[in-house]
Amino acid sequence: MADTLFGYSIPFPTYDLYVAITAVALYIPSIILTTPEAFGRRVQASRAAGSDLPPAVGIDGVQYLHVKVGDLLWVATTRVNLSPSLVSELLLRITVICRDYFGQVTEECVRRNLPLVYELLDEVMDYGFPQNSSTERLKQFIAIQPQAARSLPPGVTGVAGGEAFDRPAEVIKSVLDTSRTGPVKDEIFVDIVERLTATFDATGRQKSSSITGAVQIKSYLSGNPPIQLGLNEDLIIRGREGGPASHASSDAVVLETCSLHQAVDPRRLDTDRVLELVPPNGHFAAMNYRSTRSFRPPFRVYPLMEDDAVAPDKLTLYVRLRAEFPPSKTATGVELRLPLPRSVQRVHVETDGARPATLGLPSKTHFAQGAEWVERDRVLVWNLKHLRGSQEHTLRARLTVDAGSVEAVKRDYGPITVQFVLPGKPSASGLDVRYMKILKQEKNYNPARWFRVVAVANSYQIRPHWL
Amino acid sequence: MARGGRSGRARGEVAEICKALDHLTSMNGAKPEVIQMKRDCFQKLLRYMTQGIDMSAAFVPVTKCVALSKSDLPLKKMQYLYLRTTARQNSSVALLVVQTLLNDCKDLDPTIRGAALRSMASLRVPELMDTVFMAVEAGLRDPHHYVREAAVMGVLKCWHADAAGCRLRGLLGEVERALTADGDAQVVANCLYVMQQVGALKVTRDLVVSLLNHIHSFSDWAQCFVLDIVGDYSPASEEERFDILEVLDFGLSHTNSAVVMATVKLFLNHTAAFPDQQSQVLGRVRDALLTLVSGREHEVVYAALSNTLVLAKRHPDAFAPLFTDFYCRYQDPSYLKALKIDMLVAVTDASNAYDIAEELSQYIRDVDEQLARQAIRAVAAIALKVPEVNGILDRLLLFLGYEKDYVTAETLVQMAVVLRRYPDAAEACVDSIVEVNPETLAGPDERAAYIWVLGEHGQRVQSAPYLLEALVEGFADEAAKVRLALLAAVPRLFFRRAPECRGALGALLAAGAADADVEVRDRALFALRLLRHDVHAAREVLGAPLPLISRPGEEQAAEVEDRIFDEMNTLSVLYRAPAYTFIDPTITSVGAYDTDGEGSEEGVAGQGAPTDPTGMLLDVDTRSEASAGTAAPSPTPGSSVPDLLSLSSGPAAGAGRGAPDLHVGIGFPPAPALAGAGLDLLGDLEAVAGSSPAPAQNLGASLGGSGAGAGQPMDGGIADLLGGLGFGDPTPARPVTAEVGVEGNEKTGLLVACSGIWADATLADHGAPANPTHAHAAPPQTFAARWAELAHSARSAQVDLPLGVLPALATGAGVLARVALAAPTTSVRVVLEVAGPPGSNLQDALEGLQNLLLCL
Repeated sequence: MADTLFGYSIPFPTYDLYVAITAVALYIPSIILTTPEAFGRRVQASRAAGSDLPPAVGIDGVQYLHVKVGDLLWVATTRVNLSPSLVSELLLRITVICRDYFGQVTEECVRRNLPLVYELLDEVMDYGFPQNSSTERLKQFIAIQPQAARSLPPGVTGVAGGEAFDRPAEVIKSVLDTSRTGPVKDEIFVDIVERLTATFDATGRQKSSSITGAVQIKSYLSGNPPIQLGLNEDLIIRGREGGPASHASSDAVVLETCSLHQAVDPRRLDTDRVLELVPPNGHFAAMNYRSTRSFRPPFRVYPLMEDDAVAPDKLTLYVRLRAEFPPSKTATGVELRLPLPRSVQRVHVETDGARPATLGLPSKTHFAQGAEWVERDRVLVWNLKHLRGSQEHTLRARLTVDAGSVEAVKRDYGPITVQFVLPGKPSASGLDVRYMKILKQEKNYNPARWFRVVAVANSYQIRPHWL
Repeated sequence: MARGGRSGRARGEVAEICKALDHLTSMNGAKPEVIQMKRDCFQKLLRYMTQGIDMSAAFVPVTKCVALSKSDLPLKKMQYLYLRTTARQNSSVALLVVQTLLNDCKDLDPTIRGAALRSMASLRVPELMDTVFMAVEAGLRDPHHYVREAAVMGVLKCWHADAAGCRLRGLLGEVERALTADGDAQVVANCLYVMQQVGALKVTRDLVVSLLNHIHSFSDWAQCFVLDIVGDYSPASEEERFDILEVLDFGLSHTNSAVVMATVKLFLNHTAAFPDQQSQVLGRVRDALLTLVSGREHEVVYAALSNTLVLAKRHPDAFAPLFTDFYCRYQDPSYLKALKIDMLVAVTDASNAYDIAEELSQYIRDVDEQLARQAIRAVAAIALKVPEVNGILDRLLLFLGYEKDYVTAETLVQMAVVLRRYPDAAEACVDSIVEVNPETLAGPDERAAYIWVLGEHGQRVQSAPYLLEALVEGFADEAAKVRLALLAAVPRLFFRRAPECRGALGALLAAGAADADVEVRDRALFALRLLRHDVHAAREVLGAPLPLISRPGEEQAAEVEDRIFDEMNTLSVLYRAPAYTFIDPTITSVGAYDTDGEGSEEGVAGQGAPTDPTGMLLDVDTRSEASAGTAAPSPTPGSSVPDLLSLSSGPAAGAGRGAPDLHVGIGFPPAPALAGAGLDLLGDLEAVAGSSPAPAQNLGASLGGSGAGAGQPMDGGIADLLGGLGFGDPTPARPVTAEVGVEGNEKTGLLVACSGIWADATLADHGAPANPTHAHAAPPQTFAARWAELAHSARSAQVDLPLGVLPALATGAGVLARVALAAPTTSVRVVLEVAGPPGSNLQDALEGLQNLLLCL
């Protein structure tokens, strides 16, 4: 259905890619017949070159802008010199709407819901000009029902990194569940998601760190009542008014910058440190912020490369991973990656069993770990499904290297990167939601409220060598 | 969009759907289970259409199905999707479609009215325009905003289909009224958009005030649009300007990056004329941008960071303290990492240079070779940027020992660049460079760089002549670029270590003179002639060090950067090229003016060429004779040598890329004026070839005197050497033509060689091709800078190179002028004016020029 005005064309069978293209022609002065083939060739070429396709490419006078969500590329085309931020945000917004409607944005889901996707795009864009795009407002006008995916992919919760947090298992549901069909179940999810950036040297010294965080809300409240989220009273937000009168308190929570969703009343934040808002249905970030406060690193990694006493072409690599957080917390999806130089020929990896630092009984669930040497990418990958606080694990790898390159290998391995999802209070920045009020004048109205704090790795890196 | 190969299968599918629909129409359309079956069938139908199958044959059953289940909205909406596509594929059903839609435009449900109207306006079937006009007109007065939104956009659709019809019915007037009168923000936004698209939007103060008063009721996208419009509005007074900024301040802390960017642009625009205010605003803007840059979606970060880079180039001080925010993260995609490296270089100053260089050093471990190379280039760029560089040079030296060959190679190329800036650093570096095994250097760039270092700093390296000699032995197997590098390096070292280099030079010139590549051959012949004719002059030319460079060759011209700055928050910033290079449909290649070396990574067609050390090798400049320990100033009569063209000191060096379409014209003033006192070059060369010992003796003497050689007498010296090559008359007589077309290419740019000295060479002001201007007063140093400018800004220009005094030709010294043209589509005329004192011989001048042409 290559509609000449909206030119969406899904999927993309000509190329053997797990890519679907949804094209939205923007601000069209003249009609564009989108050509997914030309763009597809560009996608393929950049894959072959091993690089990532930049978000904007021009082909024959048509500008193709895309965002990548999961395995899908969502593409907009235009001939006008538009703001790339606008296009990216709009495409992301469309994916969020789709997620709100059919739970997941995978190729299968999009394919099954093609007519709905068309209808959504038709409502969001008219003649290339963005129309109202809130899930809330769209609900009134969208008629086609979503189709559930045949099967949920396995391990939705276990995937490491921020992606996993985008779609926690319990929230794969459609906004329509609460609005049009089925029994009404009011729920609201408030998450503080913090992405940690930290760099360490081989001795575990922290060289740099920063936190970017968001207060994310998923609201399925009927009637859209306003809500209040009480933040830390002593919160200091640079560039904004309010906060504690005296700056004496040294452990006050400080946010360097902060941006607010349009639904949030900024005055209440300034006066009372309260996020007051009328949450629209669906996913959105009520507040984004940055903090440069130094936090206690949740993980420490100590790599050590040892010569072999007997064999001159062998090395032993030890990587010690320590969970520095309290035992009440458990990190999931911990993945440590350690690249090795080309002169490493063979690698034999072994990991220990669970060895809690405190002398206790090893817990049954905390054994799940595995390490492998991925020859193709020249990287050692160590996965720990769960890692409870205060635990420590060691990976031991026997390396066989090219003759005479022992010193070079010792000098050139790394950097080690760690991915993790670590739920639990307190947050790294110290930001907290102390209470949540739902301002609805109705007796016995007590919707389910979910509040979580999660830290994920943004860039958590150990560099064994500082040149 | 039916595709030919599918027609057979498609017929089967059309039949299948028609049959299913017919079956459904025979059932009771009010039953829920029948409706569900219809929906499933429609979904299937739409899926087939996605595959490009023409389903217009199913029109009748589709319409029937819907008519029998009137109350079901999903069916209706799927029907619209079907109708819109079908009407376009098959105009015979369009009339029927319109009738259906027209009925729905009068439906009680506003959702149906709106959707029907939107679909109808999108039909664009000329015969049905009257019906569409009527529906749109009615829609504009609809009580429900959803219908009015569709109607306003419908006006624009009509306008594109039939502008005259729109005018006739006064639809634009209606839209203009709605712009100020309608109570729904989205309707107003649509009106604004329509008015702007048809070019009828008048941005008055009242309009701006009204938009700003309601700014919060607009959707994010409409806010961006309003911000763009307000950004172009010039406030009448200072207070008004402040008011606007105050009202829009919320935009800087918006969670939608599109709103933030639009606000940033507006703030910068509205304070542009007030530097002190802008510096205040800058802090706010910077914090807003940094929040976006630390965001999660790569595409959003990329757009924000691209804009931040443009701003940081203007105000590096504001961003320098925040350099750690631009460090790469390991899951960043490659385009983002590349951008961050550029950003780090942009914010480097004396205070953070070491930290940034340390961080960049980590990136050379990246699995992505291009990124590792870029990191090395960035470290070298930092070395050129900050005054205290030793620590950074040490870092580059460490890279040389890294296990990956491409790291060594790229480092070597960059070392050569740094050494051109800081020749004094050679002492610390040359030993490490020479340790590199040339066998591991695969590419011509790094081999040329290696050779350049040996030629330029060979006096510090005991084994340099022998290393070069070994390379000369493999001359035939080298790339043209490497051969040219040898032709530059060996003569250069020869003038300092003549006895050791003699063998290599002889073999080199012999091989070069027989080379198949025109450029290589010309260069070898030129060196040969020059050496034969006058070794002093030859030393001036061939033995001269290159001019110092002050900054990396990849930077863009200020004019281009300004333009991109003005186009902030558009694609220009991502492509690093002004809009006209990729938006104007007449320009097919985006890369035409993409002058940034990294352009190709932006997915733009521009093929960036890395800094080209051979380019530097070809440059000639004798101004800084003393710097590299050459002999005392030349005793030749042509002491105007210092005024030689120095073409490489500007950003154009090595920037030659694309395929410039060059036209070089040699123009003569009228004959009487052409009284050049030239020397018969051919005759002279023959005299040399006839083994006249004088020049060689001169050379020997001066070499001995300079102490650069080994101090041995050179029996027969260069005369033997040259005579032995049997180099005869190289210049067949050929009439001089007034204009010669020369095809330049990306490797060479335009090579101008002349057996003579251009006592004064200036570049005239460039102008439009129809109106060339002539200016002769510009000093030669500006030549390179002007060329760069020219190449960036002009598509076509005329350049005058007045050849000053012809007696210079008589010295027999030569000049190589390498004009690196940065823009592939530039068409250039080079006009040489020859003039001289009275009494000079026209014939001599002609022959001098003929020689020049031969080399072109």
